[in-house]
Amino acid sequence: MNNRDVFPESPAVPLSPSEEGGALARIHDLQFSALELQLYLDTHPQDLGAVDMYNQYHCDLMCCLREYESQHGPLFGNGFSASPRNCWGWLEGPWPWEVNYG
Amino acid sequence: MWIYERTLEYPLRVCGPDPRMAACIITQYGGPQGELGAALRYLNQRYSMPTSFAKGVLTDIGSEELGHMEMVATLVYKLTEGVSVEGMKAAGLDAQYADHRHAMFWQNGEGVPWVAAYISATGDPVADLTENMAAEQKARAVYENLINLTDDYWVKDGLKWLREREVVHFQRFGEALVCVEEQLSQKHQFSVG
Repeated sequence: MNNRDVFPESPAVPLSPSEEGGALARIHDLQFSALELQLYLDTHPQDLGAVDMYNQYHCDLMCCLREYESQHGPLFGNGFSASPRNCWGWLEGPWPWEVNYG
Repeated sequence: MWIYERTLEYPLRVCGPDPRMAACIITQYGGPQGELGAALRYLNQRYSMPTSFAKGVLTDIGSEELGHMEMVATLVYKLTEGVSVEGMKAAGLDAQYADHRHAMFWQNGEGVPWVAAYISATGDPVADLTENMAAEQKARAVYENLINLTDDYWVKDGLKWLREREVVHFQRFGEALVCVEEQLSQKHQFSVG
């Protein structure tokens, strides 16, 4: 379950061919799947199979986030992401509305 | 408490500037069926919901709508990025430019500002959840209207993604409504018995 599955008409080319864009696309897909399961579980809390799936997506997502942030800087504020030691990483790079997914 | 994540929920791009389309899309930022109203409507209704799953659905969908508000703003930002005063005038956006230049503002496609009257909060969980289902359908319809208004492949791609979320949210609110009605019905029978 990911964005491409929901919208198969999207072009096959990745939105951002760069390595960073690819890693971020993977994070987007995992987060989307986890959020979909979260909303589903809110109204189907007895579905323990879905709970297992949610936990698996959580583990995969945490793994991808750690890997991404170690190379490209923090994604989360409020202490949930570390900054690189040589700069205040929160201000590095374009903000979400400025990113050029070309 | 909310934690900011420094990325969009779904990546967006545009083929090129289109200030006229931006002026239409802004209605999903601050119009009657827009994402600001949706986020505030759902997050605000949590305090009068009787069950944990209804509070969960409203918390999670309300939070997601905040992210959609950022996505709509991003589309408007990208469609007006670098557009000159002459470009704004040529698109019929003189008055928009006079008040806001290139700033974001919560308004509908005709420039009418957002008002709290867009929000429904009756305190009746059945009425409020039913209202939310209607709100999701109205937002879906507006996204379809917007999709019809543009030929930009990537703008359509983003709008289609946002439209699909309205369909999912409608489904979840419907399930929450059934659960709340069942619970209220059981409570009633218990008090009578």
